[in-house]
Amino acid sequence: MRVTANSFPIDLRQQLSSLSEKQAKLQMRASSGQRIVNPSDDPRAMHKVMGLQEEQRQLYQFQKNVLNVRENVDISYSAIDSMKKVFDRASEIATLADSAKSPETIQVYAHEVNQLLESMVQLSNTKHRNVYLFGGTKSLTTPFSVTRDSEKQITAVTYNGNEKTISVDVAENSTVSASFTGQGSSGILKNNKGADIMKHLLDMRKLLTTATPDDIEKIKTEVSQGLRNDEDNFIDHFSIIGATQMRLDTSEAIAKKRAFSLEPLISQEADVDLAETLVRLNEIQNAYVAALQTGGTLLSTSLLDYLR
Amino acid sequence: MSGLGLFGTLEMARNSLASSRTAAEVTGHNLANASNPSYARQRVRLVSAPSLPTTEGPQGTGANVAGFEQIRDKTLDKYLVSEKYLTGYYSSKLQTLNQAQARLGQILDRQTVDPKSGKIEQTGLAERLTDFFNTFQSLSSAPTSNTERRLAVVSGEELSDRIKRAHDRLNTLRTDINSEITDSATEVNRLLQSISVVSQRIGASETTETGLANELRDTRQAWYEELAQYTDFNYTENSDGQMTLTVAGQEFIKEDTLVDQFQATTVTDNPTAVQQGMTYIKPINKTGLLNVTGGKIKGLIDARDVTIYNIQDEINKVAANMITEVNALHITGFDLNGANDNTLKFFTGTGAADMGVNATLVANPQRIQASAYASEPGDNTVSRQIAGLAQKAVTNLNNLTFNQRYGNAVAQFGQSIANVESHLNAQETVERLLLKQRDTVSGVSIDEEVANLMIYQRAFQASSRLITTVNTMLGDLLNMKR
Repeated sequence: MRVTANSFPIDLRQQLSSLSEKQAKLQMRASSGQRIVNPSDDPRAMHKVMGLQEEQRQLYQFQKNVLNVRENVDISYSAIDSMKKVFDRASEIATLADSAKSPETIQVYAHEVNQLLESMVQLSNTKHRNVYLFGGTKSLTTPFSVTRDSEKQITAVTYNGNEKTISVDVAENSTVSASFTGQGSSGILKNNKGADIMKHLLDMRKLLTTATPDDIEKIKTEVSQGLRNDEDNFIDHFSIIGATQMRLDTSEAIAKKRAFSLEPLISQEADVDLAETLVRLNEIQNAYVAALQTGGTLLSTSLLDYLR
Repeated sequence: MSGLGLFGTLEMARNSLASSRTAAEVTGHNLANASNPSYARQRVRLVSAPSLPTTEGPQGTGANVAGFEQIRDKTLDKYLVSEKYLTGYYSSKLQTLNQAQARLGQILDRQTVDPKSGKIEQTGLAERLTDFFNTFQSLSSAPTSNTERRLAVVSGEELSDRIKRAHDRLNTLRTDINSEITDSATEVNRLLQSISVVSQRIGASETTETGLANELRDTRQAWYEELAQYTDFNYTENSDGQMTLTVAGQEFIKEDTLVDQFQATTVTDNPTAVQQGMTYIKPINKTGLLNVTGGKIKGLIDARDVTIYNIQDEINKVAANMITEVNALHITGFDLNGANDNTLKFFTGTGAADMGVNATLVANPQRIQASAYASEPGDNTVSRQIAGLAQKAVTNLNNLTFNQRYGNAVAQFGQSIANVESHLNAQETVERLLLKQRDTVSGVSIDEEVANLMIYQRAFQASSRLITTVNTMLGDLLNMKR
């Protein structure tokens, strides 16, 4: 085969160019740690990585939702716990008030129950980040409003919220109830199973104020029965909140674990095997140097060097 | 005594000197053009001079230069020209598509970390799509939060901006390609003019002088190869050596005369959506577009009208359906004040070119209609429904989700580029092999030429010696009679 003046230099130029290009690609991979950057580098892998990253971002969002819901639930629990403490004192008074007590003592009890009522109304209108926690989905309206007499004593408590709660996604196809209602089948303060703490406190105050033997007896029977229903309601809600918190913890843990497990899958497609890349880079560099050395030797030799 | 005689021998030696000198000159010409890639080596064709009839039989009278031969394989030349169309096609297509890929901006970056979230932060369109739905998820967990509402608006703006930017950049690229096609047409016309002129000079030279116009043919071959990078064409020579060049069956050079040229034009008669405002090529003297099938011009047109247009169209479909689906839900909802405005859309515009967030919502995020009920601002039904669009199989997107449709489009786009790159690599290998093959036939080997030079030098020396010898013999003859 004839080798002309241009053959060898053209071949050498093409080889050096090819080796330089390979070096540049390998060096980019080694420095970035990535096998693919653009869709054209590996379209199938890019498609897969985009899908996995989308899933990962959704899982991060579910974790964020869990955080938001947990915050509301924790604040609500704190408020309900305070309500329970108020209720416990009211229940104590209902037990202590009997006909053996002096009228002055009964009046002190009446006065205390009045304060407990005020506290209960205040707690039922708890706000968090400018949102009422116990008004259902009417969360910008004060859930409980009061009517007062000339002596500024509460004569009636009216519920202005509704009986709806919202559901929040904490996983794919999985929601959790993220709000509470003051009244309704799941109402914190009044349900359809006889719980109605506001009414029972109002009744108790009234009966303690008039304090006839019949009134005292009614406290022991009707009011106490009502208070027992209220206590059951509070306990139910503590269970519900506990279960909700457990669900939130579980959902968060699952989402975290899944998001974490996606990372190796993404890495498998997108990241470079550094050891292999560095070895290959070394090979290419050696080939490049060898091409330069041999090219330099051969380019400078011709018949002209040997003619006198 | 028959034969040449001393004077005849002197004449023969003189011719031999001239032949050796001419051969050395041709060798020198080859050596001078050793690095000229379009040069085909030449050699002198020496033939025996007519013999002299003598009583002893025909006697040779030396050698003459019969002509200058160019060592060139015409089939290889033509094959190389046809391969250059393909190389030009794939090369220009790849360059253009790489630009489009850069402008699309859908890259994988696993280094940049968002300082707020501590997570890998990427800025592609796919990420903006997911983030948009995620902000509505956040809003659904806190429907009355002004912060979450503001974030939903910002996220919508970022998504719209991203989509519009991708659309606009690809549009600008398509317009830039129009300029490049126009420039290529100008270049083609320059080459057609040059080929026509040199063909006429070849004709004139080969008519008035003996032998082929080797240098002019070398020049024309180089121009053929340069023209092939821009467009495919066919060329033939008739029995008189006149050349005709056609592109897509249309004559541009007929019997060495330039009869037509390329003209950049737009489609004015019922252009399709893809043709709107785009530049194509037509012959100046004919109506109808020129259907080139190879070269840079075809590569630019295909990149612009097929691959880039497709990805642009896909982005537009995703945007248009996003606008429709989100707005359809939003107009049914109620804002924080409990009011419903069934004309209050979340997104404005109809597609990627004009997508935006409603200015009313930008100014007042409280008016985002996230609730499904009047006077229930804490309800999150509509915001959850909008968030749920992330998983919705959209009928107009072949029952794919928004991210799936976009992901498929990006993968297809990437695959197109990868295919072109693969074809180009293979094509460049073929072209290199052909060039190498041509070089082995037509290229100048310095060693070979120097060796030939030595031969011609010795022949010259031998002829000189013959002259000296015959001269001495003549002198001896003359000295015989004083």
